[in-house]
Amino acid sequence: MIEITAVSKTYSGKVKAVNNLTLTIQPGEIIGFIGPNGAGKTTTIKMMTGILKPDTGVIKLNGIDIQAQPLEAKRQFGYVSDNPDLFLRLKGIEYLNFMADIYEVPVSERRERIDRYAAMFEMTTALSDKILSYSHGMRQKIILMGVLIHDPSIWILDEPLTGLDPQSAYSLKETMKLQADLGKTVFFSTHVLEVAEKLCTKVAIINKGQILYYGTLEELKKNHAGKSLEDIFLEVTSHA
Amino acid sequence: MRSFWALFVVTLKNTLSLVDSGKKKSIWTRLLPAFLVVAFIPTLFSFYMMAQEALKLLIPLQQSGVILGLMLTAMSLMIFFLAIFLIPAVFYFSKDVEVLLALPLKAHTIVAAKLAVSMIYEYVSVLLIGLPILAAYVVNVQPEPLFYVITLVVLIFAPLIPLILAGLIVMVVMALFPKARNRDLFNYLSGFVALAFAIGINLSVNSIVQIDAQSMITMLIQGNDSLTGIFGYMIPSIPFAINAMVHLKVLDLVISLAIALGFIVIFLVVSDVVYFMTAVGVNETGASRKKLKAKAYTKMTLRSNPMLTYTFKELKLMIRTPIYLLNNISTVVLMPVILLGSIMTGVGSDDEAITAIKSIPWNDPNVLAYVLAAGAAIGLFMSSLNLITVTAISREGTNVYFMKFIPMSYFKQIQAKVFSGLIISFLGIVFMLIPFGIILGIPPLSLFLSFIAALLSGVLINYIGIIVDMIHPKLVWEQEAAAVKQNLNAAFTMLPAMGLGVALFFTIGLFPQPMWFAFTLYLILFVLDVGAIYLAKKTCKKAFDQI
Ligand SMILES: Nc1ncnc2c1ncn2[C@@H]1O[C@H](COP(=O)(O)OP(=O)(O)OP(=O)(O)O)[C@@H](O)[C@H]1O
Ligand SMILES: [Mg+2]
Repeated sequence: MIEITAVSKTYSGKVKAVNNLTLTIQPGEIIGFIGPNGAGKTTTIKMMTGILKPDTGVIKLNGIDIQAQPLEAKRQFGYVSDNPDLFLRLKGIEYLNFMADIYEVPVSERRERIDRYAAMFEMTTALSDKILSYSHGMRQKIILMGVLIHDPSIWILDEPLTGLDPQSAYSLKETMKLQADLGKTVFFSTHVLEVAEKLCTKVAIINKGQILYYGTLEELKKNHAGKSLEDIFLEVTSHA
Repeated sequence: MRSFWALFVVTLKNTLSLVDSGKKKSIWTRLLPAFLVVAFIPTLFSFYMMAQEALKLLIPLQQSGVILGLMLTAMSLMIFFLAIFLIPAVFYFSKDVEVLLALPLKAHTIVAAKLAVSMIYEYVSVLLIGLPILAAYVVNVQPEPLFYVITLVVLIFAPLIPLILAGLIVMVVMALFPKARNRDLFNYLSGFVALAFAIGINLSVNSIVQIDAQSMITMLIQGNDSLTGIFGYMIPSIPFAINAMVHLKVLDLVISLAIALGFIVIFLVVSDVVYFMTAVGVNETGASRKKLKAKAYTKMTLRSNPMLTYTFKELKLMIRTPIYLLNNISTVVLMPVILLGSIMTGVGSDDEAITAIKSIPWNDPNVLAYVLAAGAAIGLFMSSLNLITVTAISREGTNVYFMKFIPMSYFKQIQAKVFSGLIISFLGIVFMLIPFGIILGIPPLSLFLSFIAALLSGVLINYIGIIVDMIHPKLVWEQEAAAVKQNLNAAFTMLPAMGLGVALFFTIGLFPQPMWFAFTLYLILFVLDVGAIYLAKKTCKKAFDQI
């Protein structure tokens, strides 16, 4: 469960990136976080993960305040940033084992998960090489696996599907559904409306730091009868 | 030709702007060239003196040309040696290569522009060797005006043939060994060869100084024969250039230029065949894409303590990044070798010095105080020199966000970083103390006590380093080198640390009893350590909120 209450963030005293944002996400839900470039998605996600400190407002993960009890809160989620260039000189397998150590995953479980997800993302033969030798999509996949290996109850993913090949994107989406069915909370930003339509239980549309719509897509479509999803999105964000 | 000039200008601007990147020039970057010039003055002067001595003996023998031949040969050697590193860096591993490959350019245009840019770099060597020797030549021989014109032309073209020779070798290696097209491998190799070279020079300079004039002259003339012999084959223009300079024969100059032109043509023809083929396959690093063997897999998925894992991650990243390995870790080996080397060559077979060392009463409390101070100074010196903790946050660069979302407290992460620095400091201290202890015959107990002092000061420097870097990290950089080399934090901790190390020796006399000094030293270092650790703990949350 994620509870964001009245959160604001201003960069260097000028750019108001997130403006009094409130959002509650229940366990078992897959939320698509949609909005134009510069809308404030990454900023919101960074505040949820403790990377940025909100100017005002409170963010709770499974009921734990990220500012008040950072370590406990950080144990609740797995995070994939929008930039997958991380620890490029570690080998894939070293990165996974490093993450497993940091999140204190028992040996048998880490091995089982490495095997499963490496096969799923077709990374088995790449694990012995340095991440530096990976393509952009492969780097994304190793970071994703670094999250999957500690099996968090909340997933926070910043544009996880951009750059993945169709097969890997499919695997990721299936994994997301599976985890949500198990009662996990999945929160990800995306620009692809079709993905949101097929995958998400709800969408949150953000522009200029404010939530414009939060609810199911069906309802949104009902409110704008007869229009395509793209038109609805353009209309909603242009009214901000 | 037009595209050549355009490319030449762009490449030159690009490389020059890399040298002084950043719009705001700090005082340091402004002063650096001045420092370098000052640092080279003694070398220039000693070259001048050597040439002067040599000419005094050569002129009566009517052999003054020998010195010019030696100059050109030494220049070519140095240019060739530097080119072995410069050519791969400029032709294959520079960032613009990928862009250039996509442009509709012929291989020989790119290669010609890059060759011209490389020439500019090499003029530093030309000036360094040429200026002092020519100055001595002009003063002693007093040549006619035509000499200056000919010499200028010779010097302008001096880097060309050695560069082309190196270029041909590099291209052939790249063509024959695809594994060589790997930036990491190249950086490691060139780094270590440069290190070995630095150590070699350092050791040989000490011995050169002691050669007397007469044996130098025999060496010069003999050396000239053998060196120009070899280089006469490899660089056939040198004999003609010497003739042109000594006897002022313009025809010989023209012949030497024609030879250079021939080399250019050969190089461009070869590059049209080889360059694209080799430049396209350049990689960042090697990769095998092989499934892990069961045994390796089991070993690599063992569980360990988060703190330990984190420390090892730090060390791995450092060792595997060539720039960091060379800047942060190589000092562990380099410093002891240089210091020991100069002591060995300095003392050498000097019997007086050896007996003086042998007669030092190591067990005298006064001497022990100095040994302890030396230990503390070595700890300060080796720990501040390796720059590990003082760049630990800066080196994260854009990855620093990782530190903020993992469930490990900032203080623990900081400590893991300090441990990685302490491990290297520890190695540096051991490599310093043990050889010195053995050579000077310091008793084990004194050595151990000074080792403790060194460790205590190592802890201090490493924690101070991390505090400085936490408060003021340099996180925005394009190339790894900038995180360590252009990081002022390093200078800010290094200078006080070294100052403190030197100051220690002067405080010994202030204590009525040397034992008091020892006790006070330990106590103060210990208190400072505890204080620094406490301060690091206090600072980290606030500092990371700012990052
Ligand atoms: N480090 C920063 N300093 C100053 N302003 C910033 C910084 N990061 C983001 N901003 C500004 O904050 C606003 C929100 O940016 P954010 O990165 O959250 O957008 P986003 O929704 O993730 O966009 P995109 O779809 O392009 O990823 C933008 O106006 C951006 O210019
Ligand atoms: Mg974003």
